Amino acid sequence: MTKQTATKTAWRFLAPMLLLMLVVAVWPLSRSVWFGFTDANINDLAASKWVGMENYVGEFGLMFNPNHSDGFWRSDWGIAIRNTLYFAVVSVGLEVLTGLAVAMLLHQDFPGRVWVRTAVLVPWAIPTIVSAKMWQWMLHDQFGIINELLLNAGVLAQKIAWTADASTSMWSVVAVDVWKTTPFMALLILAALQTLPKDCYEAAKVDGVHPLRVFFKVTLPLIKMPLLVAVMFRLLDALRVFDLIYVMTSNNSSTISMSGFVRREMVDNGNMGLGSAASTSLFLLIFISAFVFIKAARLRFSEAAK
Amino acid sequence: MRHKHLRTLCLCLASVVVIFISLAPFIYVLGTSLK
Repeated sequence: MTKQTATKTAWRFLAPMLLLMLVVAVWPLSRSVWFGFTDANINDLAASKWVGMENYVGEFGLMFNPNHSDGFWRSDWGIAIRNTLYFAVVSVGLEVLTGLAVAMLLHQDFPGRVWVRTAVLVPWAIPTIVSAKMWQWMLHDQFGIINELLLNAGVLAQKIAWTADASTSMWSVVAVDVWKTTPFMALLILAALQTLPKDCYEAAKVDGVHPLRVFFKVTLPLIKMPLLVAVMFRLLDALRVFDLIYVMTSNNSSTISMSGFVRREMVDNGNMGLGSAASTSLFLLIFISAFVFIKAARLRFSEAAK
Repeated sequence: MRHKHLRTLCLCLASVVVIFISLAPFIYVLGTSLK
């Protein structure tokens, strides 16, 4: 088979999948980007008119809006960006720490290890909506068990509205996300731990190196790349967070994420144009974050290789 | 030998804590729904 024939055959095999991708990914994405440049309303999409960059930089746009007298970061969109970034950084940071701890535990040899592995996976295996509703009930200000336990233990003097109070709502959401996603991190880190060569550890044991030193000097450098990949997956996932925050705190301005803002503009307010502009901005933010993270990780990797 | 037993005990205790944190919400909700 000549190279030209092989290329043609490859294209023929790829064509159905490319067509499918075009229909289910490229078309909706392009349509969303297009709507971002129009004044589309959800009630009558056909009547939408081209408004250029108005939804981004116009009088009622996302950025540089002169109506935001308190500054961009005090506007609804600015708050949504701040909340999303805060949620992503804090939750992923905590998940790395807890995931690492759980993975180190599961990597040890002890009786009943299989049971622990199974139990740990449960929070990750169930749908987010179920865990969000469950925690919403547990964190309920009047009937929630968390308030009851803390009051009985004398930690709290009065009941707290965990998901409604602006000072605690974001931390509640982060805590539930950490509880739910730690198994995912632990699983990825555990997979990396199981590929490590045993001879390094045997050498360290013979030399009498302290376990903490072994962890920081042997384990951590060896799992650095899989760990960075896991962090990237979680970071991209956390930047588009919607369901957990929406179910637990609805449109509360102290927790609303960029995806939540998009939904509010598109569905509640019917502004498909502004909502699409916001979703395009979110897409760009995620794309840039992934690009920067990959570049940064490679840079550190090459430095380590030197 | 004593050190090994202590290590196993610590690992089992940590496992119990991890299992508790993972499953306690489900057990509580299940218990509430059965009342």
